[in-house]
Amino acid sequence: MKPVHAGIIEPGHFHFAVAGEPVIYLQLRLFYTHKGVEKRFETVPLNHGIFLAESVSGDTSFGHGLAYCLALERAAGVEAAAHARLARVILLELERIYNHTADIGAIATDVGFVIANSHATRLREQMLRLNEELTGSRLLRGLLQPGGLRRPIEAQRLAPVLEKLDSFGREFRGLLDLIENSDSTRDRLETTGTLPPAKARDLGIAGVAGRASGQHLDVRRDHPFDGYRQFQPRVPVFSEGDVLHRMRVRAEEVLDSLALIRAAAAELPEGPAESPLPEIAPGTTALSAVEGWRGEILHWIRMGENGRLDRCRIKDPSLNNWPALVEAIQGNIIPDFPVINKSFNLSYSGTDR
Amino acid sequence: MLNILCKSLGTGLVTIGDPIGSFNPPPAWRGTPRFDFASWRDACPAAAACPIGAVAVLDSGASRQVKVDYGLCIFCGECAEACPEPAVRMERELEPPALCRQDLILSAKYEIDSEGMQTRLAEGPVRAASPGSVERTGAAVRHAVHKILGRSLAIREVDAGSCNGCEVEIHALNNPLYDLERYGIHFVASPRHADMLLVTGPVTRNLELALLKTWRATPDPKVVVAVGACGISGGIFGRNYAVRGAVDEVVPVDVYVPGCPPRPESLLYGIPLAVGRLAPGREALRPAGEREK
Repeated sequence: MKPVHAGIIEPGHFHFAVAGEPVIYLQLRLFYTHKGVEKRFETVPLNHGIFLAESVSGDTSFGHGLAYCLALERAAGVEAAAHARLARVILLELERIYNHTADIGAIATDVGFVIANSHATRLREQMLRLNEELTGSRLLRGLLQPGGLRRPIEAQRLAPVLEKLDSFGREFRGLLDLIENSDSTRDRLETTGTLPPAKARDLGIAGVAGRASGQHLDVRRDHPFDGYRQFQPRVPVFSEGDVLHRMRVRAEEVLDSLALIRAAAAELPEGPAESPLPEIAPGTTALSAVEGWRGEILHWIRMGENGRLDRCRIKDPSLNNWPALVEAIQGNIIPDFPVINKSFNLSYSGTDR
Repeated sequence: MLNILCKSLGTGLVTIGDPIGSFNPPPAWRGTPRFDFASWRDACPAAAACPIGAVAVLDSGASRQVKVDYGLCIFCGECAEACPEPAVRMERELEPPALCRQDLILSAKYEIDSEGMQTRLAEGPVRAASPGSVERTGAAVRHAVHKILGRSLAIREVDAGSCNGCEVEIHALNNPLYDLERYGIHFVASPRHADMLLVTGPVTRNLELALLKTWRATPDPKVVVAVGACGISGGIFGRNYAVRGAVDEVVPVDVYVPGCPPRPESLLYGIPLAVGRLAPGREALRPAGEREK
């Protein structure tokens, strides 16, 4: 399959070696969407860099934006404003919910359970609209700013969103019931695309895929940032490592995210949304880690002259996890490749940068 | 089986009424920056605030040229926030898709005083042509799809290097709320089955050839829609060692859909606009490289 491959999907080149149906080996050729983003960061002012960070991987706009902000805040030695610290929890979890919902639907669709996907895409649209209601942008863009948020999240704006989240939660549980109660769907997902925990450990697999394969990792718990110092997520971990359990990790995380949002919203203090960012001395370095919906996002920066970055390095969790796809597909049949690929749902743009 | 049916019946009809031609902007949407050129006193704060230079100011002596490029704009609202005058504000209306790159650029000339304030609007803003056909209703679109394409428009989406934000919104077109299939429009897996290429950019150097080959593989007559700020102009990524630039620098483009990413409603304006360009007897366009020869 050449870089332009089937569906509304990013470009990459998958080279299969097969013996009849079973896949013997998969070779990945990536970096087609390499855009020189890290170099681009060196040419833009710090406050404009946030917009670029939000475009590293569009579906992780908030995750990458937050990692960029945290790196700058760490370099400057400040903390975001109290309001922003908790508001960021709400927004990061909203991003997790809409993406996980889409992935669960896509997994169902790839084993032929299209009705479940219709419900999932409907729920995702609900979430995109909630994002907009809260931030003005369906992808949660343009709200983050080093030092906090551009605008505070007012209580009167948050209250109706929380109500809608409750009804979303009920609908989401209904979607899960639909999928879990379908024997033919479960049959296709169980033991498909298995990534054993030992392999996951050796390859350093992060995020959802790692937790489905026994890796007890979650930046929100292990290296808490912003509001996560106050609110700890429950980290679902399974050892089976198949498509079904990657889906279950997502399902559990969505339910946990809903609880986190509610908890953070209850404590959300009033007050300024941003704290001023002092000037950062040239040569200062900082590393930030954020648990995005795919897994750990790292941003490393070194400050340069004239208020620009001298160098930055961005790591999307997809970069760790592509080798997992190679391991998981081996021995499976070609028709299962789409669902296995979807169960990882890695970002090409985030990898290629 | 019964539970699937119950769930569907319990959910009821969720598809929204004809989204083409009747856009009810959500109240919280940030909107589109609009400029009152006649009363605008100083464009400099907006230009300085814009993260990608969509508002540009060029001073020469006592005159100033102000350029607003919706093909670059990411609709962040920074210009309206930075500008103290009411001349720049966010309006909850869509920036309509354009048939020509130039249509997305507004240009005005001012006379300025010694303090750099704009005293008189000398010229403009000129906008080559406003795409009036955007007003088409869903029925007209269905009619066009039926008549010209035998009730099916096949779209191949091509990611020529996008951040995948545009893909999020293109995916949304297929959800039960927007339900693109009701117009006879559907996404296909191969460019050989497609009438339309929906290209998201910026075109990276690594995908330039792939995009060109995909375009060649699409049978004539075909239309190309450039999606989003990056597809139209290279957007926030600009031009560097890895980015080739806008989609129309590689293949001919029929319709430009602005946004970062464009809302589904914007895409639903742009796609029918392109169908209109599929009129019989239309001259085949050539890619950028071949046109020069």
